[in-house]
Amino acid sequence: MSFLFPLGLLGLIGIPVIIIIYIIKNRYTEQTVSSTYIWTLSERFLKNKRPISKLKGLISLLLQLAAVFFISIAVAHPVFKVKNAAKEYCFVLDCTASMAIDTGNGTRFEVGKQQIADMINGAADGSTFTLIQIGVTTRTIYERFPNKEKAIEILEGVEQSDITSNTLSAWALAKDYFDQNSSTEVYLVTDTAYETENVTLVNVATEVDNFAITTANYATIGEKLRFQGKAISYQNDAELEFNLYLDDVEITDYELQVETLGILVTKDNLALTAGVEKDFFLELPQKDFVTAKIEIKNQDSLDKDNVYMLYNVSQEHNYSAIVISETPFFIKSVIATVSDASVYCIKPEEYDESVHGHGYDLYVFDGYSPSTLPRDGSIWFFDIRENIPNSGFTIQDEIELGEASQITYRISNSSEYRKFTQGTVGSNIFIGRYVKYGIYANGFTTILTYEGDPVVFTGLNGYGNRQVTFAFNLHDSDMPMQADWLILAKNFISYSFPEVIETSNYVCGDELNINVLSSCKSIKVEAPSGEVTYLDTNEAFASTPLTEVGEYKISVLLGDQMKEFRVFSSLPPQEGQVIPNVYESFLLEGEKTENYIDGKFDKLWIIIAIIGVIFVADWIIYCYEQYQLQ
Amino acid sequence: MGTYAINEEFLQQVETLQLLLKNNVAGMFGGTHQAKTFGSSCDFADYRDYKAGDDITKIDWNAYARFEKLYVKLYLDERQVHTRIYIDASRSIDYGRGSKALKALQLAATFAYISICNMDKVSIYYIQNKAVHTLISNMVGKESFYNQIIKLNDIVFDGDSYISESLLPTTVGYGDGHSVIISDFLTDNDYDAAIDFLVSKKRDVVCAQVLSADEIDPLQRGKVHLFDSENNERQYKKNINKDVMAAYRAAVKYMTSRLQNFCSARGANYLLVPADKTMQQIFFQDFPEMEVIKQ
Repeated sequence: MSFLFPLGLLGLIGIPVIIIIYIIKNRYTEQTVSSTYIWTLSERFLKNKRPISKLKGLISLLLQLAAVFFISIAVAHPVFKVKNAAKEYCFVLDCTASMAIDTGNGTRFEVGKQQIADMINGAADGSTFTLIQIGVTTRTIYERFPNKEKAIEILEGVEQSDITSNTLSAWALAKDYFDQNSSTEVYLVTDTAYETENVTLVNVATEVDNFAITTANYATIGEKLRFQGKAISYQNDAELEFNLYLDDVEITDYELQVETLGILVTKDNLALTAGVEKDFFLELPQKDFVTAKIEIKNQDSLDKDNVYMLYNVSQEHNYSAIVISETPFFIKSVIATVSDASVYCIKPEEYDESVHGHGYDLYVFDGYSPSTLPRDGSIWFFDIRENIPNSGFTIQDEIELGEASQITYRISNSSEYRKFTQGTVGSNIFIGRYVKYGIYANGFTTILTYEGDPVVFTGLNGYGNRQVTFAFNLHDSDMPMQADWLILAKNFISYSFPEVIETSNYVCGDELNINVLSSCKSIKVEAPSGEVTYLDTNEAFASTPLTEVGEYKISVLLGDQMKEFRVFSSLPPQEGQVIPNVYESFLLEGEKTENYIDGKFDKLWIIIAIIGVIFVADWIIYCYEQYQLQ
Repeated sequence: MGTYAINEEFLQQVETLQLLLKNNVAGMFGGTHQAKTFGSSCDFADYRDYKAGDDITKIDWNAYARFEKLYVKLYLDERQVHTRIYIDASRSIDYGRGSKALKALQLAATFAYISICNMDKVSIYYIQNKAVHTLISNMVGKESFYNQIIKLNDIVFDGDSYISESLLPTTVGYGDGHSVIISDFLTDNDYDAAIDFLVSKKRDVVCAQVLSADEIDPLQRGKVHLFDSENNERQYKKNINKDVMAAYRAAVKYMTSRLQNFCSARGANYLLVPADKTMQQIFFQDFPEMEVIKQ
């Protein structure tokens, strides 16, 4: 037997103290009374003392001693160590993607769960179980749970994830339990050979074959369509063959090519050395496609990393722009140059201001100030001289420069600014006049300035649409002649024509980012498992974590038109390793003790405490009866 | 000890009370108590034949008219009695919580006053050790009462009391009134003989046992070593707990019952007077119930 709080035994000092007090106080008090006659006479009426009644004088002392003893013991919280003692178990279960590798007796995850279930079944009655899951989020499934059957039932319901995760959070949780009770038996069930301390590692990794396509992309080379990817065999040397599907139709007329000494050589299969990633090429005559799927033919222990999907995203986008200008040449030509958008030009008097939306993705107002802003697209302003509600800026002055003056890039390291100036060469741009604007809206990014006045700036207007403002007329500057004009225009086009999906290939665990266009009414994301998530469309960007390997379907309602996009979430490469060569540690520092919670007796201290309280109460009642009751 | 002070208001209340005697009195002087002998009171008793020399004013002429024979009317005689009050003046009477001594003095004074009001003669004695000391002798009349009763405060409660040994050698009178013994009777010493002696002298004996609250319900608890106030050699050492208290209460009951039964067997009156009992309750309730006093 040991004690959880040995300092509680200090209370036992009270026992000799009480005895001393009892001895000191147990003297007879001398008193004089009028007559001792009745007292003496009362002896005749005193009942004969039974042997046990001789203890009566000691009852008060015995009750006090018992109360002090039991309360001290209760405070010290005795812990009994008995054979097959009940223990506190803490299982840390690795639920990351690599645990899906098939061992031949089920996946590693299933084997790990079975081992935990066996340990729970084999634990002594009274044991408690804590289960920590390392998965999409690391969390405690149950804590100090005493019911074996229920614990196993819940364990069986724990699902494995497709992501990778580190053990830091799990370590913190396990350490917390270990710190609370240093006798806790901590088991780490994983497929990684962690260095452990005070932790029993249950390694469920077995040596099996696993191949993977780690990445892929495509390109059109002349008349050829070429898919380039990387493949790996994690455990053994292998010769891989591939299947290629375009829009779910199997393609057989491709050539598998491997780079040998800088030259692509056609091969029947891809010969891989264990653990070494190697490029491969699938070349075929050019074809249009939306979805391409590359698949490893060879069988292995983990299917999820044998498939890689690619999407032709550009086919999903088709933009249009309208230029309201008397002199639209520069603007029309630059938009047509840097984008595939359809560009329409009209005179200012042809523009109907009473209509809030004309159905264009971009409105360019060149020297013309509409009284209201269109609400269904991005806006470019050039040389606006009248205040426009919700534009985010006001007209302060029209500055006529005496001679051509250079405007300069603002110095900034913000990500927004860098996005707009990406690729620029710092051309010297001169202007002859400009309009001085006062920006009142938040979140605007100034790109170019003249003596501190913003002359090119971007931001969201009052209707949440993307807006680019030039404070000068292009004809009053040499900007269209400069190299930066095209680069800036391309960046502004990218900003103004946001692609709903900018990237179609992710690694599981990444965040899926979706640009929320102004006409976007809803975004529905359907995971490979069929789980549906609706994203918030109130912000410029919507995002959701990708927690499953496979194809995600994104349905975006733009105006009245439903557009569908697909992205592929691939298995994190490190999760495909059969024997992960991760040199990490899972150390619970401290000295492990063997103060096992005794199971049958673990609640004994409560009983002892109750007994102590009963003795205290009994002693009080005894004293009351002896000294107070008439 | 509390000092006795005359409470005139209370004395006025008890003026109307009348002492009752069980035995026909044998007093010498006229008083208010009816004697067995025929006398000159207004209370008709009997007829007898007229004899020469009888007072002719006592002849019942109505009876003569009816029976043609002379009858003399006889009346009961009324005598003055001598109330003797004995106060136990041992130390135990004046010890402890509550005023036993004061209660004893009040009891004696009131009883004396009622006797005075009944035109009786009163003597007050105190018993100390083995002697009976006369404190007030043959007191008659209210004026005398008011002059002498204050002598009660002269009693010094000390020593022991041997009631029988003290009383037996003294003159206690014969059939001429009450003998009131006021004591706590907390003693091994004999007092039965004294009561028997008084009864044999045809005295109307009243035993008033005055006990303090301490004695009826002591406060002592736990381990105590008790010494007797009258004699340090009498000691009692005990761990006083619930059982001892139960035995004590049984002893109190036994002692009072025994004295009461003894008195009852001898035709004497017994009254337990807790020190906190009011004089009104004693004289207007307890004594009338015992037929010692008539309202």
